[in-house]
Amino acid sequence: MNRNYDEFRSRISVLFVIFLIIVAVYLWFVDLLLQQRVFGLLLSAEFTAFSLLIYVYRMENAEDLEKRWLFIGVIALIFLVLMSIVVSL
Amino acid sequence: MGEKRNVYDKMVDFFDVHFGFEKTPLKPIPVFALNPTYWLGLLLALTFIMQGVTGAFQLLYYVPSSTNTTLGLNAYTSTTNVIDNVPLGSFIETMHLYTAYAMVLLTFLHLMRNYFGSTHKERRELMWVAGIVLMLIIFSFATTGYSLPWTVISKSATDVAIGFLNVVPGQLGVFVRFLLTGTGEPDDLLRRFTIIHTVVLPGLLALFLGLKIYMYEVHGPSFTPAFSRLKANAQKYLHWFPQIFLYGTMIMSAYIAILVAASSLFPISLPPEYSAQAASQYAVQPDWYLLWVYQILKFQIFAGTGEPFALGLVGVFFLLLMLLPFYDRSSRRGISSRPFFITIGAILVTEFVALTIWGYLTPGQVIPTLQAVAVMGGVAVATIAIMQIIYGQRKESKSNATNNAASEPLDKREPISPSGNLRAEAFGLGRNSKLTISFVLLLIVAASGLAYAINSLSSVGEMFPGFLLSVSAFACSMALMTWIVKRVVVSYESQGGTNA
Repeated sequence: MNRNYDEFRSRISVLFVIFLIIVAVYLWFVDLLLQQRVFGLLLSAEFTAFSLLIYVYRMENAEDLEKRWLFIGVIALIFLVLMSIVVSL
Repeated sequence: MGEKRNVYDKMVDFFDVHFGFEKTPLKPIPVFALNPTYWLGLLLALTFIMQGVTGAFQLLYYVPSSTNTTLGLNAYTSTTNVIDNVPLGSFIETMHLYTAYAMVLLTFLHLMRNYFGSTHKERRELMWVAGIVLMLIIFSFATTGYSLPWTVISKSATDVAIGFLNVVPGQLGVFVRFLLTGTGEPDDLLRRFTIIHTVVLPGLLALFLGLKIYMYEVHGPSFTPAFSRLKANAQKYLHWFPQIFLYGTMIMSAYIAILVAASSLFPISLPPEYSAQAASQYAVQPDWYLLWVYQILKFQIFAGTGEPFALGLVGVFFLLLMLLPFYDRSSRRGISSRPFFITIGAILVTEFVALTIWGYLTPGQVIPTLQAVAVMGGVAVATIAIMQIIYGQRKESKSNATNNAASEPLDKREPISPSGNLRAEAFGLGRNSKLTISFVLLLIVAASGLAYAINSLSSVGEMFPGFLLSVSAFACSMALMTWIVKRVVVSYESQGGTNA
């Protein structure tokens, strides 16, 4: 049971790290004068993903982890990425 | 020894080895303090740093003058220049404004949490005093900063701020006024406000913040009244590295994410530049955190010569607030065992919200004395009545509980936090967070309803549907707020938070 949870933690952490790297690379190429809102929204997504990563790391036992927070965090990430697409149009 | 270390643990070890976090003398923190409400001070300190970073960026471009300089820029155009032409300019300008708002809001929340949680007692008196001084510095920060772009609105905020100086009596008043405003000419005022905002106030804030952090380190987080009945796990202490460090980093990241998202979604657009003509066409009023003072100044009774008296009263209020630990000497800390101070606190919060919303709805209007008395008195009486009902019901339920379980000794009670995990051990507040948010929203609805109803009293006939709706909104939200407070108090009581 605990091994399954460790695996779950590792997998979800890897996903967050990949997301962080991709967004960081994209941010490097964003036009800082014309796409300020895109930059801000993706930067916010970076901080959100980082916060979630720490949350997952801190919760060493399955019963400590609240899936509700993970769910809210992921929804926030999706919202921020979608909004960055909307404001860039 | 043979324990397998994963990548995270290795990373934590790496930082620990290189920075020596384990050796730093920061105090361990009890598990129950792993709750965002215990870290509002940390968020305030972080906001101060963010203000410094975004402010330094703005200072590179800002021209503290109301007239065009040799560069062809003044305070207003140099600000719009940053917004329109500088990479990340609009984003950083907005961030600076929103972090300032967040700082004022966090100050209010921190103050309320400490007041209602009685954390100003037992060797924490000076922490409270330092906190009130910090609040006044933050107000000054916000006001001086708001003046700098020299828009029509910032000019009116400046006028309110300068009005405060009229309270200082005699030659001292003349000296302080001259020191802060100079000749009163816009250029002199902007130059002085820039220096105060970027040099004097940050220095003072850093000093008092450092003092407060030091005192926090000496005393640690305040204990909940029910601490002795928490389960052993919740009483356990965590070393600040890596547990507390990670927790702090997590909430700080989430907080920055919210501020950055808000700054991107709702970028600022400046109001028109100040000029006598623009001011005459614009309904001017100060920023939201000063609206309550502004509304008091608009009361007919204080118009003209009564203004210094009104500001004097506000000054006395802050003095009384600062000296709270020296006259609230009782050792009782539970909400239910301090009905007098809790009721006073509730009245102040409701009056503040009511005045702020009322001020927003009535820009530039003089408020007749009778109307002012009706609203202020009505809010106070309604709050007292609600608190009386709650305390009465609590007394009744307590006496019933005593009759039913008179023989049960205190140490046989079930310890709280039955699930035993970290989340549940963060005592109480998490459980009531939805109720708290609902309460704040209802408070805003009630205050808006009351303000609208009072304003439409003079023309009830024409605005009857709106009047009826606002009165209904006020009545319903008051009833719901009563129910929520009752629930919170009952839940608090059931967890043993009756007394310290």
